[in-house]
Amino acid sequence: MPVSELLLNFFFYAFAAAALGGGAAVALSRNIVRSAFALLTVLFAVAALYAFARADFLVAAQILIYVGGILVLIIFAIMLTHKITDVKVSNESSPGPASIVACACLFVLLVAAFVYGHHWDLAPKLRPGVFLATGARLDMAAELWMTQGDGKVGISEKNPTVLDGFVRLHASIRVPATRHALARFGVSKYDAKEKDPARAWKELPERKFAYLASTPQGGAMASADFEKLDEGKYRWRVRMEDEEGESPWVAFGALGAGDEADFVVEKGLTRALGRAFMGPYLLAFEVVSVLLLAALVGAAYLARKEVKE
Amino acid sequence: MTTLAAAEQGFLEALWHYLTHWNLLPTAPWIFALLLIFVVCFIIVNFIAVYAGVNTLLERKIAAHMQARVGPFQVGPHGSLQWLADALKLMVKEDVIPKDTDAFLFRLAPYVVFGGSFAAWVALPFSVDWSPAVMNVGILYILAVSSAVVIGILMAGWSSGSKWALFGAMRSAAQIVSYEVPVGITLLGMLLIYGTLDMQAISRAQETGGCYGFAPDWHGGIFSWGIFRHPPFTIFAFLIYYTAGLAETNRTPFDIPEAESELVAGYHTEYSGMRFSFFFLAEYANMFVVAAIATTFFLGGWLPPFGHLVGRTFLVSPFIEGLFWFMAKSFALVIFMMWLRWTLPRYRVDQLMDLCWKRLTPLAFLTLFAIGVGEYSRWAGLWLGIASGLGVLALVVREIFATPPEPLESVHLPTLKASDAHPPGTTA
Repeated sequence: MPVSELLLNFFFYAFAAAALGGGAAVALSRNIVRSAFALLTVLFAVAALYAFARADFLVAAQILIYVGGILVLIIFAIMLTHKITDVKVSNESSPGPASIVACACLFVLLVAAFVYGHHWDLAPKLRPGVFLATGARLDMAAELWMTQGDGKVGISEKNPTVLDGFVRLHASIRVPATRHALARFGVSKYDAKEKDPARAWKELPERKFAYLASTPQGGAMASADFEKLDEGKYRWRVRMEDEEGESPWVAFGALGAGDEADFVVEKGLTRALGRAFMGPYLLAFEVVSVLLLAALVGAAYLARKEVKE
Repeated sequence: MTTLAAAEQGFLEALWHYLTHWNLLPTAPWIFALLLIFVVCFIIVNFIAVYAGVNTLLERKIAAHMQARVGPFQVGPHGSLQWLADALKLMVKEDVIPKDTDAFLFRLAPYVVFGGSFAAWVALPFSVDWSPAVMNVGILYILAVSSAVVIGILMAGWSSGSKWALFGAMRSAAQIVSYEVPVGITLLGMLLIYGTLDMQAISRAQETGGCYGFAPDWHGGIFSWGIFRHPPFTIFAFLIYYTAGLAETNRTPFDIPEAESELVAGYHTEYSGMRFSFFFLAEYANMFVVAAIATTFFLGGWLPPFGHLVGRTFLVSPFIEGLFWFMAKSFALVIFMMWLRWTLPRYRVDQLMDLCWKRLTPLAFLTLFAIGVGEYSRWAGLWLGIASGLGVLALVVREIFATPPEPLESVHLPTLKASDAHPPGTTA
């Protein structure tokens, strides 16, 4: 989504600073009650950072569970402790050289693990297009790919989910662009209620075009944005046109009947999480539920009134 | 017409174009985005402040008329400007910060409570396809930021430096956190029906539908509303939610944390002037949010009770009509909350907790289970509804025709004699 980069970056750094500053306050404050309330800042800032990752369910769940549950519990525990402010905080001692070295090593290890351990899906994957028809005027072999977000985020191949209803479709051809050549993109949506499977893929009325721009490698490329797509399964295709004619349609992926889609639009994380919990992760979900039940029973037992014999 | 075209005609036209096209924020240059955020927040906060102020007057008038008196009568015609006088008074009062307090937290607490209450307003579906912030996780967001209020209350109680404030804060926090369970469970039951967390989609889903999932395309007007989807369980869910919502906002009969006769004023004892007004306004804002959620989930949101298409009546536009219906239903629920306040006596804190954990929570789970059965299979839901409806009817009939209990046998008090004043063995 072509969001204003400046504003987004400013807010991102502001929330990151709030999270770090709050964390520093939690760790370094002399007053333990203030530490507890500084944790509120940290939890809210982390929730905001989840929003930047487009994990909308996690934002709400983080605040609901951490702030509304865990932080309340921590604060109750602190306030119900007798003379809590008289407790000597142990972080008054200054760190020695050994602890500084250990912390530095841990930091380097974490950064290295993030940067080199995880496969960052930053570069969009190129796929050769599938031709729909032959007999073309423009001879082309097109490479098609799609990105979401601000154009820099790729779409995972195994599970091509687009989380905002915004997708940017790219086409690149090997031959240099002639004057006034343009690429026309068409997106079709799967209609699950359609009885005839051959006609289940309905083309959206909006077809976008983009003028081909020359690339340094001697080819040409174009991209078009599709915004505010509703939830559902989509396929897309592209063709080149110029004054003298049109090329055949080049489809990104699957053709024919069936509901295999090139990308799937989902508004937010909730439905995907629900499907994950009730599908592949059902056992884990149930085991965690049993664990929480055990904790609940234990807490109720600890808080019971003693029955005098 | 795009914003650029509007901007060519002038800054104000561009601004108006933004205010009426909520989906444009992503494409804005940063200065417009910031301006839009500021303008929307300004409008919302001012609206809530004025609404809460008028609400204080409404409360006093309702209390007065229920107690056969007239209430505020001096300021403005029939006392209608009393709320302005109250607001001005609170603003010019001396800002007292007691010595024994944690000053930073003492100052911060009203803002945390206020922020939590006001932040929930942005996700409410005020009108057709219009809410200040369109969110996929609307109701979850509202529940989440409402829990920031608990932290603010604890902050206020602790930093006041007085044990009464601390006790009040503890009780209030325990009450709010306890009653969040029936709230969550009943709303979860309704979410099974709607299948989405988006508040606008929930309002829209009540346009068509029948009982137990039969006739899903029938425009039933009032009978398609959430409260009639799985009777009697959705009706129970509404009542449980409303009661638990009363407890969430510390309203009578659950206002033990702020009852004057119990704890002076609970967590806001040491607050005066403008800081106290923040707590006050936050409570009224919270009341409206509870009423608004009940309206959205159970009473059809911005839908009219008759007809099925907004905009077919004499009112100006679908937007205004939807706004009217939403506000009317929410106000009715808020006024009912005030009515209850001056009718019912207060619960003791252990009775309050007992009510929550031993009665409302099991009932809420029952409604969740029954609505789940109803959503899974329409006929099973129908039979369950009929059976439990008959059961409830039987209980009601039994209560109506029950003979009153025997009077307790009178306690025989011993007659007093003069020598009882000085029992033998003590000096006169």
